[in-house]
Amino acid sequence: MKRLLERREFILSALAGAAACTRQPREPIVPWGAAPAAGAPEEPLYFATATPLGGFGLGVLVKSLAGRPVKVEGNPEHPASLGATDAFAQSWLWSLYDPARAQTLTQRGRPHAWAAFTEWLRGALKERRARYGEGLHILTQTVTSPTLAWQISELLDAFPAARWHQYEPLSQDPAREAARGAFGRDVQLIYRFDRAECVVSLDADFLAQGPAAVRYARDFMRRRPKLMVIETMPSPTGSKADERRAASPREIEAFSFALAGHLGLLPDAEPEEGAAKWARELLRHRGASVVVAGDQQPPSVHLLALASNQKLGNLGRTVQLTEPVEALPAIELASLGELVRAMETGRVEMLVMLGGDPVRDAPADFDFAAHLKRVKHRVHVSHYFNHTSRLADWHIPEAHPFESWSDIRSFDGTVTIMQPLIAPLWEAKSFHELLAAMRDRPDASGYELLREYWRGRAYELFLRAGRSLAFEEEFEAFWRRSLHDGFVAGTAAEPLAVEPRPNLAALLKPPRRAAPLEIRFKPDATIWDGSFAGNAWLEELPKPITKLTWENAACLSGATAARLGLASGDVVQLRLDGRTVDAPVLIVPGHADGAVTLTLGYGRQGTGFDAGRIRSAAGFFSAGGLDLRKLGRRHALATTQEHHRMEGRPLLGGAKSAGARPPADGYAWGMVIDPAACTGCNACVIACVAENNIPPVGRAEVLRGREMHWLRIDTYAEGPEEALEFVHLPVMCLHCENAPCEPVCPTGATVHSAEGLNEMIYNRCVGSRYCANNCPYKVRRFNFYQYADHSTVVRRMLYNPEVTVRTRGVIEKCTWCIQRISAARIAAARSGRRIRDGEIITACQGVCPSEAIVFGDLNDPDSRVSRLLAARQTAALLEHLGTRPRTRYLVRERRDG
Amino acid sequence: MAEQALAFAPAARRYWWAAFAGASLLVVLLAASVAALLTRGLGIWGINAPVGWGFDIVNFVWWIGIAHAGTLISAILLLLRQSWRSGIHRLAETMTIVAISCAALFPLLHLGRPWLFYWLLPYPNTMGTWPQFRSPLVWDFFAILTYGLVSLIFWYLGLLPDLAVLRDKARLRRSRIAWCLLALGWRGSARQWEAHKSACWLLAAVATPLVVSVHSVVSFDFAVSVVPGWHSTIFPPYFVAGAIFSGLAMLLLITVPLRALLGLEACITESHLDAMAKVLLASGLVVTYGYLAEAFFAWYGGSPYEQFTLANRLLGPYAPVGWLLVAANVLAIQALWFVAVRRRPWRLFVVALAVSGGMWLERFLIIVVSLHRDYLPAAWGIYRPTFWDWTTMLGAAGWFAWLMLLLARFFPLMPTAELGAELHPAAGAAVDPDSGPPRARLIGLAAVFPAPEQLMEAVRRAHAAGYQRLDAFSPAPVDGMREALGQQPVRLSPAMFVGGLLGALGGFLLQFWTSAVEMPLAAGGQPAASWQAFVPITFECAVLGAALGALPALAAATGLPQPHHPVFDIPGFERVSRDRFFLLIEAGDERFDPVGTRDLLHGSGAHEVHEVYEA
Repeated sequence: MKRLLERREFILSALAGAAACTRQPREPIVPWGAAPAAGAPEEPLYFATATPLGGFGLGVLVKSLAGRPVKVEGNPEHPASLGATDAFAQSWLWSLYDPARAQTLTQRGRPHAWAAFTEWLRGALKERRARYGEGLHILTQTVTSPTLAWQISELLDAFPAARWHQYEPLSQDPAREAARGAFGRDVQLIYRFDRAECVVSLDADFLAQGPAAVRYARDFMRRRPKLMVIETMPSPTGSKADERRAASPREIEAFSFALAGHLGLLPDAEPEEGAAKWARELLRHRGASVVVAGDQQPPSVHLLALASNQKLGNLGRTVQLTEPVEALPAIELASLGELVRAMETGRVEMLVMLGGDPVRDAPADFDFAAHLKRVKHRVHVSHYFNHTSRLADWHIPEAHPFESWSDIRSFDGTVTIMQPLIAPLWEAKSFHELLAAMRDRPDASGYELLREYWRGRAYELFLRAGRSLAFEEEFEAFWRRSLHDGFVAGTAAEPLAVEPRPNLAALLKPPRRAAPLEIRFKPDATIWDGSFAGNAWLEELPKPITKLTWENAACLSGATAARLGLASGDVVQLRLDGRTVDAPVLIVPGHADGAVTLTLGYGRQGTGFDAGRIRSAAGFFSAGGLDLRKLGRRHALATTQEHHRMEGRPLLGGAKSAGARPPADGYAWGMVIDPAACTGCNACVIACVAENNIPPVGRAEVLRGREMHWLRIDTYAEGPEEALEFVHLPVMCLHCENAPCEPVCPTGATVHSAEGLNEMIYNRCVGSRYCANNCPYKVRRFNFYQYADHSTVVRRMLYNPEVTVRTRGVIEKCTWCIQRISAARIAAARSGRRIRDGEIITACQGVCPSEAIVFGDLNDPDSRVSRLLAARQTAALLEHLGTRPRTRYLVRERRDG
Repeated sequence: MAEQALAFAPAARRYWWAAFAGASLLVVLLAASVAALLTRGLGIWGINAPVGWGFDIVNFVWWIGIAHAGTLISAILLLLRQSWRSGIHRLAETMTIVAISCAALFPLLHLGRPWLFYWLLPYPNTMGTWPQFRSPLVWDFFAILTYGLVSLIFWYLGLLPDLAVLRDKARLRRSRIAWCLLALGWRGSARQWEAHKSACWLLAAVATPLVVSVHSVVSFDFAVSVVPGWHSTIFPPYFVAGAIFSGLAMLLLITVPLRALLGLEACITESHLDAMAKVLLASGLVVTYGYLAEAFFAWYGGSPYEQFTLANRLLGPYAPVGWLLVAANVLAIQALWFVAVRRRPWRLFVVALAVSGGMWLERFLIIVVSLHRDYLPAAWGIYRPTFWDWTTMLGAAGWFAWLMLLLARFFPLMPTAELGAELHPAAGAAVDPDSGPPRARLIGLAAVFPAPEQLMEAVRRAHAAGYQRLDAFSPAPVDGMREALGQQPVRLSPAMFVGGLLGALGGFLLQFWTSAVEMPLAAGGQPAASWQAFVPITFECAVLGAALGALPALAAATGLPQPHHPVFDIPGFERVSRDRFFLLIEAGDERFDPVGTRDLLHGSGAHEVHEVYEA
């Protein structure tokens, strides 16, 4: 096996080195924007495609250099992106070049050819066909892909007795249930924060979580409506609230009832002062307010939010109702439950699992693994050989989104046809190809299948648009345009003119009584439901607020910890309905009392603990009756920030200096950051990692305080615990005019450029670390070991060739993406002009959903950065030190009232 | 007594072997630690993002501080004419050199890429680059280099007469040749003694500002930074006092056991210890003043960052370090007010141990505790030393002990010449008259005297008789000998002045030219010709130039090195380094007359008179 690997690596290296073009996908792909002249392989090409999250797509542009995808940017024309991305979208590059991905099709661990599998499949399906497919079950995750949905429906036509189940561990079930209750059908809610004046979030982290977060953050931050949040665990959204309340899950439910009561929906609801205040605020903004219920809130809260929005006249204005985006919306927990019951009764003979890891993330009381073993034929397709793969007969490596054809819909329904940027690095198949094989077309390529579906669909679209029927030509143009743009025009979900049932309150169960200790299961901010576990870029990303990396913790408030006699790092045993899991405790400022928050997805790769072990179908997102016992052990938590108080220090303010003093001619680069817009979502951090070849260092090194991120988000929680004010401060090298790091370097390895950059010359650095000590902002990072992986061939393909990969013993830090400045300079020089404003977008700036970072030329009075500096009050970090940083922070403008 | 200082009794030899074996093990540990460091990287230490310097620089500052006591005792006390220094100054100088070698280890090893350390040196290279002379690390480099070289010269110069003793005592041919080469041909002539004394004085005069400058420069590593707890104008004097404090403590730690082991109670008396203890107390009080001044500045300066740093030292996660430091450096030394402590070696030893440890903790407090919580609370961290931190530290201590033991065994730890000057020689045994065959050319006639008084008398007579080309040889300098011989005084200072001037000019111009003309880099918004930053290196170069300038002048004045000289052929001349006094009247003298001169010599009480021939 080892020799096999070596041979593979050798071949890969040969391919990567000698003939990059041979790794190109065979089918024609279409670059975005104006393609450079042929024969310029050093010129980057951008290809529009999408990255999936929970079944929904985010339109992205992937930068390809010499045939290698090296960076993910947002697609400015895609409605879910508008040019920005979330952290997950960036991370797909790491997994593309991850040697830990499943590389070989296997049957019980033995490698096989695709042909051998399809041969077996044909035989296995022949048996099923005789009985109309009875005993054939397909388990997918949430499906929005039109082509996949079409293929599944074709399959179900051929095997009418077969069953299709959908399951996501972070499903939208409560929202779907509420919609069905309110409208009697599936309805999708889309929020228009760009039209809102006042927003109430019922534990909804809409600014940073979920497939719509990027768009929502952009809309929200452009408008900046008043935001009131009630939540259990402090979230990026909660950190931006004008008024924030911490409450346990059941208190949130009770609060929702009280809020509805004060809005006049429930005459007999108990009055509550805080809810009354928020209700007054909402009523002042009828038609321009939003009440958002969190994805993991019970259906009753969703219904109350819906009823509130109806009452406030928001429906159709700030809350839009559309057709569902999923191909077949399902109450997924129920759908999986059906499958489990069928397995239990021995009715499942063949189970084809497309993606996911249900063995690991199905509710603990389903006992999925035990039932799965009773299924005769088990087929699993996935990126990684996970717990479910281990129990499958056949495991088929799933093709990566950047190496296969597919399509996907974004939160608003817009379809992106996903084009590959590179031929599969290993033997991998897409879901489409597997489904085609099930229809006896084992050799159909994803490309053919996509085109087949879209040929039919385009015909329909053209007809509707009243276009001519010179079809073949039109279709090719349509196909090219769709690939080029990164989305298919006119595919957004249709608006619905439906009204909720008149008396929604009648549907409601009364709020549950608060339990002494409640538990809340949340998606993890960096590894989501665990499907990103092991992705080192994401694993090492400090989670918002807690700044925890590589693991999860049982998060609770200081008061609750004090009541239970706990301190951060104490290991406790959590017991819920007889199931237990051991977890380290982490005290989180602003967490609700009487509740413990666990994030999902850990415990798979050896770090963290598996919260799923105590998660049952009944308490899928929250539950009462948690029992907690201190075990007397301690566990060191790998956080990147240990202090969340400013200690009374005027970090942004105090003495005023003259500010930056750019030279009169040439360029003078500068940056302005708006901390008020920053949600702490981490997109910038991981974009910086991807752009600048920043190596992950691993949990042990993070514990020693050696994370390498050039850009970090300092989060402070100021004020009394009951009214905490969170401040996110993105801090990277601030490029001081009087940089303290420069004069202390013995070899002149860090010096100032004429354009105001604090430059780092790696190959002159001997590693005295004096500069790092003397940097008051502590933004300089040192390569204590050889962190960058020089030896794994496929990992080397990940590196951005425009940025030096650093070696052991040298300092590194933010360069303001000097490679992008150089590229713009070359482009400008070629056409004999100055660099235009907006031509240089730093990696962090480009992906920021809330546009908190602006970079540009201070010598150009019309540049965005100059205009911001002129119009707004700004402050330097630690202004009194006289370092005169070129990066300045906008001073928050307080809202009146 | 001089013999005692040089020889180890059999019992002491056993202790020596045991100590040497232990030290050797630690040296192996050091080698292993360095190997691990070079192969795996700095990550094996506990340093991290806020705490970029840990044990490495703590140890560096500690060792360089220890090195200061040697120069203090050699140079400053020499200038102050403190006679009690004579018993311990060689030991202190030896300790200085060994401590510098320990200290120099750490700036080298602490580099991320130590194999490129020479990039801190100014040398023309194909990269077209020069060191960045505004960096205190480059100042450090020059300061340590200068200090090391000057200390070595000083030590070696002082050692020369003792090396001659060893040469003359050596029985084996092999060791005689080795000592002969090391002694450079020292023969104790009046001229040599005169030059030697002058050189010692002048080197002491340049070493005194040097010793102050070196630890000031070390303190600049911190003082010129922006780190709260580092950025302080009191650092240079505070560091210098701390250096002397820790160095004296270390000297006591070595002296007390060695004194007991080798029975040196007669050489190193309780009065010596008492004097050292007083200086220890005095420097400790200066250090205490430094602590108080730091606290006052933090409070009075009104900077919340400085105030926090001060509070954090005593109340933060490293609070035990802060309180232990106060206990050791402030409270423990108060015992030295009492004679009962100052004159009891082992009580003194305990105080010295406390101070040594306390000063190490002080450096830890300054370096680590300031760094771990500086400006942005979000960037705060904690530093935990690792296994390799401890082994490297222990290994360096082992290296120190190892070298000290070797030098103590093979080199005279007590300056025999100085001690011998107080001695009266035993009556010499009669030596056979010269009976060898006549050799080549006659150089002169040499007379042997048993005591300096007789030599002096003979010199006076010869001088009175009109002889001009005379030379006197003695185990120790004889007061008034130069005047008696009618020799001109030895003048080394012009050469040293020229050397110092050239050094200063060269140092300044090098910095100015590279920084402002050849490779002007924009660093920290400072002007390219930021002359203020060039002052420390200019000073170091001046001292180095002066010290090096003394060498050719010294060579010219003494005629050294000259491993062989015709006088060495005088039978019994090997006792010139111990208890014999010789007068040579050269054949080239106008008044020389083989018979008359011999008579004159015999007449002035010479035991014997020998003819000296060209080799």
